[in-house]
Amino acid sequence: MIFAFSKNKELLAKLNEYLNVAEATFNVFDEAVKYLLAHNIDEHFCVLAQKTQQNESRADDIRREIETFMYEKSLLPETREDLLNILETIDKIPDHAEIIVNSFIDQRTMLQPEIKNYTIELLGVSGEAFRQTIEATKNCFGKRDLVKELNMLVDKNENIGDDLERKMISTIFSLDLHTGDKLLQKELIINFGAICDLCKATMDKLVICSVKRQV
Amino acid sequence: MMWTCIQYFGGALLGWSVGAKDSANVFGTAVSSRMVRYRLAIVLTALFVIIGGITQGQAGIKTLSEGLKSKAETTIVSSSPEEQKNAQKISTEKAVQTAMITSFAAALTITILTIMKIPAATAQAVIGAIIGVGIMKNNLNITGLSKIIICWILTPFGAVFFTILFYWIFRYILKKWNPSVLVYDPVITFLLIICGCYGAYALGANNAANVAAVFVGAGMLTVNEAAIFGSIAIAAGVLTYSKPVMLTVGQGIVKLTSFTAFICVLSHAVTIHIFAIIGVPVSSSQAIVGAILGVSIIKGAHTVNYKTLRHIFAGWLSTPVIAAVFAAIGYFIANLQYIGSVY
Repeated sequence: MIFAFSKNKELLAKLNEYLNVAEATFNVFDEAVKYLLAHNIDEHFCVLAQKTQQNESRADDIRREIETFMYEKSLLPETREDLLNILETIDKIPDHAEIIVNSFIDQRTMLQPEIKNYTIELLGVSGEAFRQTIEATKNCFGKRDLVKELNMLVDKNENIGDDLERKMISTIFSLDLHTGDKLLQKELIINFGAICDLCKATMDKLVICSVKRQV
Repeated sequence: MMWTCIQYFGGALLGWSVGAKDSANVFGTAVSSRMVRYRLAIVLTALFVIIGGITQGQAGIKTLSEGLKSKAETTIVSSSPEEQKNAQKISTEKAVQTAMITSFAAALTITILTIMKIPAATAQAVIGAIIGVGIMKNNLNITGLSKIIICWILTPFGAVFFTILFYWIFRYILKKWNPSVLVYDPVITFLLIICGCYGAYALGANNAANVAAVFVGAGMLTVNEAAIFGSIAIAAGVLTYSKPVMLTVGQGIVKLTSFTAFICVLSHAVTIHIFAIIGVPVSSSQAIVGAILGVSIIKGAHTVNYKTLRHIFAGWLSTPVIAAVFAAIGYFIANLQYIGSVY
């Protein structure tokens, strides 16, 4: 049994590493978007975009290691399934960040200046929701005493994110732009807003995981 | 040699079917939900069944081998030593015949009901067969039988009681300790294995009597030989044919979590161990059903699958009746005598 504990400690260390890399991916993404809003697309922005990709790739690698690792360890099948589901959902967030920064470079698209402030606000709300989700993940596989509280906070941030998303789309469609440009802007806004939605989806799974383990 | 094998075949078959069927009560939940590997489960079950049968199976064997015979059967009244010797020989042959009929009838009942997927309790099949023969011989110890029936009724209630008791105790401990998932999982797996081994031990201690007591009553085996024979027959069933039942048990009445599975296995083991110590062989199936019912009482009646429960009760009621009928028919056929016409 001591052997099992030491193996599970390794798994916990890997899980923490993954969550730290996922958070680092979002931080670089946040920096990249703020730089883009201030300076447009240039070499530095491309460097930040590449860093986002590298972090996302590293997060993917660690996630796959965890998936292989946990099947060798003494976890109950139910716990393995829960952990797998949660990691797959969290992993969509760094993926999304990579998609957003790449779409700026590939499509040579800039966000309209009218929605710049909303974008910064939405980034802040998404970042907060993501950090809360990471904390909840660590707590869910720990003492499970903060999951409900964090769920309420993420829910609140997700509602704020949805409001901001609607305001941004409404602003875009009130501008005198070509319909195609409006749709491109809308797509970018929806991608930004999806980060809060993914955080909420992850929290829903964490809450179920936590409730299942109540005796 | 061949005749000796045939004499013991019924008991061996009964022991094998007990091992194949009842081992699921011990490790079934853990194996079917993949908490414990099947190979590990059967090896541990077989080992601890043998240990339990050999160390604590004697009390139940004595109860079953002696308790259901009335005094009349054991008293031989004759005038001369030669007549006494003949009477003794006839009595021994009758006893061997009774043992064979009883064990074959019980084994046949369990086999048929298992094929029909009707839950059958081995203890009840054996007692039913003994009753069937006893009725045909007009020789039944009602007092001994009453004691056993009372213990049958107490078994599921005892299991319910222990489930509720252990649930609240361990729940309190878990709430105070509040371990992380990565600590809780290996601990619960370890506890499931320990309780499974204890359950297997109690299974051996309890069921060795069901399998081999009739041979002691017939003078074919001593109590210790019967304990060894019974536990090895059960272990053989565990090792060769427990997989189908083990992989499907555990979710028929109410869905169990790892914690409730641990509580059920523990209360099942404690219940049948207590009755093994008392010396009354009871049904392992009734104990595990009682334990699972205990969980449903705690969780709420809406969680119970009543259809499955009715199915199980029907099986328990029909088992002794069918075994008694088979044994009575077997005794009748074995004692048919041709009486030539006299003119």
